[in-house]
Amino acid sequence: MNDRRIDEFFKSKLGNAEIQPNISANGKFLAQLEKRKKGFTWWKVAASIAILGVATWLFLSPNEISKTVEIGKSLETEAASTSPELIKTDGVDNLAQITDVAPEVDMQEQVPLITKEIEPDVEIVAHVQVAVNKATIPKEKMTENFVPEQKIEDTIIIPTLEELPDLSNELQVASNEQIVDGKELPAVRITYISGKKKRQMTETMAKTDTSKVSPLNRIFIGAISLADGSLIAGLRDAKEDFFNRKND
Amino acid sequence: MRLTIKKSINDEEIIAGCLKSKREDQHALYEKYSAKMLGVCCRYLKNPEEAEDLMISSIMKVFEKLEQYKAEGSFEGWIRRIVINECLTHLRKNKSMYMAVDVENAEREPDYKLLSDRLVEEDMINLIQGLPDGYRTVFNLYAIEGYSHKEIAENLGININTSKSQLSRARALLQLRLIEAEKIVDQKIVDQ
Repeated sequence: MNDRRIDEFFKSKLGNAEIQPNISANGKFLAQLEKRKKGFTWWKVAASIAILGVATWLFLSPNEISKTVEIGKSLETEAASTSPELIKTDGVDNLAQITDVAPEVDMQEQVPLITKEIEPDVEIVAHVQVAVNKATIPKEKMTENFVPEQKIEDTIIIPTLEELPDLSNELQVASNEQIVDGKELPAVRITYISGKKKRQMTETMAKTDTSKVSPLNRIFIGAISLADGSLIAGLRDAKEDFFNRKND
Repeated sequence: MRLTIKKSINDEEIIAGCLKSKREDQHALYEKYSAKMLGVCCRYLKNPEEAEDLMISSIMKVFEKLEQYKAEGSFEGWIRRIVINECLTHLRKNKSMYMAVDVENAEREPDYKLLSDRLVEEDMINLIQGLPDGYRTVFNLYAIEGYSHKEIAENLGININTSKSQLSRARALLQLRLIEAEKIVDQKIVDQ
């Protein structure tokens, strides 16, 4: 009884007690409100800057890309001629086969390797793109046994430094470029080893299960057939640059 | 001279405005509930400045959580729960709340009617603030907020018996202080 009375006494007096805050509290409240709003705005601004930065990087650098492409275009190899199957089907899908790394391929046995040792102190980053001009091959000729005369138009080696030495004479395609026992070679891998650190840049052209290619990757792969400087081609180059740097 | 007319805004309008981050409605919410919530904070915290800061940060929390308000109970009750939780979090974070103080039982019951007429809210808050943190917290939750010992135990991470013993000691201490206050009030009456 005594306990209840004391509880009720305090509850009746303090249950709805109001204490007016100091005038300064209003200022503190407004300051916190402002801080909260500012925090939100800065987040937006930071996001905008990041988007602008990426956009600038992607779209304002085609000059540099086209410059390196010019250098690379002069280097032609027969590397891809060992893989006639690469042009059997649709052009874009072929490109998927060419450029995607096939994890299941046993590289030691099935993939002919082309390795170029480069002088120390010459640091290069290079990657190989293989472009196929599907339009030059009549559809009716696209049978299993058909081997086109000019299967690969370009093999472009794009250096990020201009000092890329002329590798065209030294690049060699593996000797077994013919169809052996009716079985075509599934892939070609070209490897450059450069610099003192023995950096190894590898671009693999391998037969790939296209169902394992992600939709995003397909976009990048498809971009190979697009003109340099276009939106998707720009994204492709950005992606390749990114992964090449990561590998460094 | 600038004349400002305060328009009375109901909770629905305030909530709708605050959800759109309208400064005017956020300030209206502060104007409407800051005094009530400071009253709550002052019961839990001894330091008035600390209580004021906590009241402000609790209202900020209200803005953050406003989307979760489902209009099932009163808006004021919902805000009050947020404020109480903020107070408990603050107490748990900053102080060791439980301290056993030997309390003698009061010889008699105070005259509640006399005290009710003579003591103002500020005196009552001073009495509560004079309690050790643990006693004060349990007494507030049980006697004023109406929590059960089970709820208090869950909220404070203590067992039910601890909650009961803290409450019992808080009552005994308050009773002693009310008797002392009564003596002062009696003396004033005699002096008059």
